[in-house]
Amino acid sequence: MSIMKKILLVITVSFLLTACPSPPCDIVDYGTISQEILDLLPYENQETYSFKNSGGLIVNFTCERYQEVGTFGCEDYGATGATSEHDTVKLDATYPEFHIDFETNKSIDEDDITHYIISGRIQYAQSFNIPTPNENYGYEQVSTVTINGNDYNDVYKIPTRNNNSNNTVYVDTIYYNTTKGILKLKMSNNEYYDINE
Amino acid sequence: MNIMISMNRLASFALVFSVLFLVISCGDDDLPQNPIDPSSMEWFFQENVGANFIMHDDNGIANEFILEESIGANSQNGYQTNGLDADLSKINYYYQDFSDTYFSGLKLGVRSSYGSYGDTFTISINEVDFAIDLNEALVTSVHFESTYLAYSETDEGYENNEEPIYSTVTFLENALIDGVNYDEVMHIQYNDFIASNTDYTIKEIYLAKQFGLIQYVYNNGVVCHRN
Repeated sequence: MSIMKKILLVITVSFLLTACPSPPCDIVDYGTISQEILDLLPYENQETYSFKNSGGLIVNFTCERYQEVGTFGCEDYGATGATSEHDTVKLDATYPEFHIDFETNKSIDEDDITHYIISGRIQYAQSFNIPTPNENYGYEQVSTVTINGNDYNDVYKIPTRNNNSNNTVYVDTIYYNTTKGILKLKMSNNEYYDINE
Repeated sequence: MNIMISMNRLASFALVFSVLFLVISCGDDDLPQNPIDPSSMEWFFQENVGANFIMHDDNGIANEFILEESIGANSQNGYQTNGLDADLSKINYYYQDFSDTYFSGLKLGVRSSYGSYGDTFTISINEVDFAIDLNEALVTSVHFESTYLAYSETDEGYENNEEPIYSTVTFLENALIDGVNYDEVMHIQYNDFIASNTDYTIKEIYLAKQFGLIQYVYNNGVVCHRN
């Protein structure tokens, strides 16, 4: 074979290798998040939620809520991916500047069992999970708690994980029920923010 | 003839090596240093990275500031005249960067003096940035969100380019903050971009030597002080 033919062969093979599409990713559709799960976060887009600080200051949180559909797991060659819906809730206050966000994700395991994880973050530094029908994370649950003069039932006391070891002032416990959402933010220095109804 | 060519080549190589040697050996380290005045460093938080201090507002809300970074640096500064470096010197910098519970974004800094100017102290908090000439007791630039005012440094001193800066800095012998008497206090009064200010724009800042930030006051009158 002449040198020219060899060069042509190499160029042709290289072209074919780069031109061939990678095998399509096998995508499983996990479907939408059930209303029962969405209701575990009782927050509505554009609504304002009021809290009262232990010093008496009223702190209003505005809510942004939206659902998105995303595909993940197809980044690797020949992988199996999944399409699922994500629910995002953001609660933001101007003063003091607070950022609380929740993210609900759905997955289905090989036994066809559906799993939901509702993860939360406060100030981008403390994280926690909201209990779901499948997982209560062993949180303490109190049948009735009186907060700011009102009784609330079936209240979870959710400890946060502090991801900045230098912090000594942070939200360390969240009081939560599925009717009202966050009922109290208790700080590590014993300040608190109570739901204000 | 061959000997002549070799000699010429040898001379050329020697010249190139000499120039390279001079270029390499005349590094930044030979430049005169402009050190930061030790008294300028006293306006900073005098602790190591990871240390914290707490401030409380009128509602009892604690805001914890943690020193995340403490950086010293220097850079070459100067200008060229007729192809020669003139007034070329090293400017020194020092910065402190803090995180805090409620995202005030506190940053402190100082740049050593050059020419006839004093050390420039900088502070950023709640999206307001100030630069202050410590010798002149003058606010030389103000930056709020996307708006900016700055004086130019000229041979005749500072000149305002467009609008004057109304923010002021004064140095107090002492100040009583939440029952504590602080000696040598810097008081910054923010008087610019008034139309853009909100209730929680910071309008006054107090710093004390050896402590750094000791108090700030919001536009709505809420005071946040050191504990």
